[in-house]
Amino acid sequence: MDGKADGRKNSRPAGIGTGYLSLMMIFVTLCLTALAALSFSAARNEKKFSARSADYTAEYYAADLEAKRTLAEIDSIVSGCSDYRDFMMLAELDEVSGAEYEILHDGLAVSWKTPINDRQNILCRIKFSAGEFEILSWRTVSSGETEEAPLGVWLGE
Amino acid sequence: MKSPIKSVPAGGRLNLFFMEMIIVLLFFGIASAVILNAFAASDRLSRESGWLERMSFCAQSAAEVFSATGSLSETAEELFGLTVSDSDEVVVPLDEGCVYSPESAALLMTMTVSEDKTEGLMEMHIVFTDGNDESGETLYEVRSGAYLPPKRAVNGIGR
Amino acid sequence: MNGPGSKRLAETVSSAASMTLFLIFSMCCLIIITVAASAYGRISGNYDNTFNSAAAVRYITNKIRASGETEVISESELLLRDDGYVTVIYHSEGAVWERLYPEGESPVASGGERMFSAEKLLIEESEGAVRVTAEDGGSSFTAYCRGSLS
Repeated sequence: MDGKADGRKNSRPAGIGTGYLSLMMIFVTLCLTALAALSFSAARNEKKFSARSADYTAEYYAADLEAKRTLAEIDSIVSGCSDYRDFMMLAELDEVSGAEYEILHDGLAVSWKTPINDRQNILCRIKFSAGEFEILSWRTVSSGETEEAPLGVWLGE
Repeated sequence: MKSPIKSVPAGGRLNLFFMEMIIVLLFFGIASAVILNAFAASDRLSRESGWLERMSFCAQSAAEVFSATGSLSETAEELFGLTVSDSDEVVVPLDEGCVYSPESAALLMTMTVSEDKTEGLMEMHIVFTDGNDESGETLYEVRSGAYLPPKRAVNGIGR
Repeated sequence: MNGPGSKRLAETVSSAASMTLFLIFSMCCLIIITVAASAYGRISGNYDNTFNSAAAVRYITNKIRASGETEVISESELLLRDDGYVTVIYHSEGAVWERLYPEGESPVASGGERMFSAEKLLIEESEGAVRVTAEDGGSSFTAYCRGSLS
């Protein structure tokens, strides 16, 4: 009995057994790696989203500036002319890239498209009348947009 | 049947424990350094995204107001409540939320107006730089414009 | 000095030390996991809040740019007229809603499709432009956008 007791005393586990620390470290490292990967993925998505939005803003205003440049060019051609059927003025308008005109009974309508990117354009339409111009439309449209765009119009409950 | 570990004398097992501890700490230290870097990168990316988002909204607002008014001083007053004399360039110190903050300039927004070769057309160049970076690296920029017909005032030119 | 008593004492001290080290290590691990989880929560929450409020402002300004006529009805209601249809964008129950009506019907700011969650939406006219502010989870974004204001 005594000898047995002595033997147990000598081999009594002292402190923590081998392997527990390694197991714990593996668990903690896996947890941290998973959290870091999730954080990085969320941050990268956020960055991608904001970069795309910021790029679109820059593209839109660059296109807007270009559209205004075309407007200024058209205005400088048409404003110096009192007759909207003037052949020379219309010939000059033809040279403005992308501009299309339509002679109306009370003036002249000019429209043009300025690309924002490969999916969208700014569609501009102005009307000259009595020496002044009025902007009829200055809006973004999709590159493939038709006049009758099908939309999910609400038709009641 | 005794396990090999249990047959090791108490002192030996302690040595084994300390050896394991050292190896674990070493490995854990290396893993932590890598993971900490990933967290820091995520945090930096997240902060940069927030900045970029705010910068683009700020630039959009400046471009829209300038387009409607054609005046740099009016743009600065409408957006930041700043009174500036007629000049071609305005530098606005902003905090991280893109709010006017002369005390702590985390960002610098520079709005420069130049006349285009086409009469009546003015171009505005909006540039954001890091307020704490001496090199003045551009973080975000937008070019916009305003057309004010030289001969007549036209309604709705803001569109 | 080197008797069995002092040996046992040394063993006890050693095992207590190893136990203490193990406990310290466990505590550190727990703290590290908590800190990492809170960092992840912050980054992820920031993404959600930024996405909601920024996307709401972007969506509304893009709709204004693409519409024919813009009318600010109230601080949280916007009417966009286009060829053949009318869009009502409004704020209700902590979200931005959108409803489309065929032209000719009188639009009402109720029902429709829930677009983004936002605690606050403020739409006002300023300097011939529409000023849109959306707030969600403490993150607020404001942008101006020109529209054919009626």
